[in-house]
Amino acid sequence: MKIVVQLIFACGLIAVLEGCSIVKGYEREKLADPIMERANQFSKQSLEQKFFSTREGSIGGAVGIGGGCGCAK
Amino acid sequence: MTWRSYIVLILTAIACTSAYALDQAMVGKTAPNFTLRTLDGAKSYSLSDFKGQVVIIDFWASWCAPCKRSLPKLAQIERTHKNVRVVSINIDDDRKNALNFFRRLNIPILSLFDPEKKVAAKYVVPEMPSALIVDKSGVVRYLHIGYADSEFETIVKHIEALQ
Repeated sequence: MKIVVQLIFACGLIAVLEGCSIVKGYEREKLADPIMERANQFSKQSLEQKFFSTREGSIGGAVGIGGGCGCAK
Repeated sequence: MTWRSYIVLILTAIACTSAYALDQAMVGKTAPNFTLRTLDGAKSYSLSDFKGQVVIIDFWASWCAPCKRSLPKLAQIERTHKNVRVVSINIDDDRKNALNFFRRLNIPILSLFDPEKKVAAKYVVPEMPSALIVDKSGVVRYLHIGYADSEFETIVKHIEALQ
C-alpha cells in the first residue's frame, strides 16, 4: 500500500514538474511586460477595491489618505 | 549541522557553479560569425567585417530597463577608444519598438536586428543586457552579464587590456 502511495506521489510530482520550463534571458519579452508585474495590476486592484468597499460599506477604507478625520479630501 | 544540511549545501553549490559555467560557456571560444540586417533594414553586416578590431557584441531589447543606461556608455567607449567597435544586437519581436527605443536614445552605434533570436541563441545569452568582448583575433574574452554603472570601469579596463 505504501509503495502505491509513493508511486502516485511520484507520478503527480512528475506531472507537475513537466509544466516547468526555463525561459532564457532573451526570450523574456512577454514576461517583461508591465502587465505581468504583480504590483502593477491596476484593473485587478480596482476591481478588488470595488468588491472590498461594497462588502465593507466603506469607500476609500482600503487606501486611506489622511489621518482618519472623516474628511473626503 | 546535520549530514543532510551538508548534502543540501553541497548540491546548492554544485548547482550554482554549473549555472555560472553555463553562462560563461562562450568565453575562450571563437565568436561565431553571423550576418544580420540593421535595425532600419537598410544594410547588412557580418561579424567578420570587423576582423582586426576589438568588438563589443551587446545584446539589448526595448523591454530591458538597464539597456537604456548601458547603450550610451558603450557608445562612449567606442567614441573614446581607437579600434573598438560596438555591434549592438536587438532581439525585440517587433522592429517598431526597437526603432522607437533606439531613436529616443539617439546614439551613433551600429545596431543589428535579430527578431528570431538565432544569434542570441548561438551566443548563449544568459540575461539582458549581455555584452561579449571579442579580441582582435575573434576570440570571446569577456562576458558582462547585466549592467550597473559600477561595472563601467571594469568593462573599460577589459577593453584596454585587449587593445
